[in-house]
Amino acid sequence: MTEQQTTTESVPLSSLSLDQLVQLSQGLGRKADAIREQRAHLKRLIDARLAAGERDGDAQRTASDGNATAAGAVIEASAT
Amino acid sequence: MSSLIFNRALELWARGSIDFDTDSFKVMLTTSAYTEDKDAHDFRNDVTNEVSGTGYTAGGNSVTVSVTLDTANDRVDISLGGTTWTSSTITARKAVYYKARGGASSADELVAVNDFGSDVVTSSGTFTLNASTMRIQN
Repeated sequence: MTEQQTTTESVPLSSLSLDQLVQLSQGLGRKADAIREQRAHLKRLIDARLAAGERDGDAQRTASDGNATAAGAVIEASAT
Repeated sequence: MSSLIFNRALELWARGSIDFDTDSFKVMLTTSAYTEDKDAHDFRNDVTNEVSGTGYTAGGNSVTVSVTLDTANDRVDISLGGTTWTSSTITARKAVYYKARGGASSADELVAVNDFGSDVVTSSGTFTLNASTMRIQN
């Protein structure tokens, strides 16, 4: 087995060419798009489970001292 | 049922009859027996099965409401403030927010319902209702 090593080099942004800056920006944009898609997928899962009435088990309970907390909610209305 | 915004609240907001920045709002608690109807329920007198018990006064508590524009996420968040009922012995399942005009319940416009998902019970303790957010997503 050949062990692969990764070396990270820090380069000042000001030293990059315009093309390199554009490529860097595009790369970050692709990562942002991927994260946005993952977030949307998670939101769909959360919405489906909330719609089914699921709540965190410890969101509301009566403590031994008689206190209790009711969780807040995000209630959405869509303009789209 | 789940948490919801009453349709009339959105209409009145659009018509300028509800100002979430300057109007007065309150939140009342109900038992699980109250079945909200986002179409048919528009004023407080439509709400049934309000809780009763030590430490709770009919009509509920005043809350702070504020509006935040979130341009990064293209939405408006209306924070419906939380509150507490100290030294209370009550069982509640839902919190109903409404515009409090200070008079008849038939004049108080309903805003939203937060369904806790299960009963929340205090026994000579503090009932804490955490804040909710009414989100208008563009």
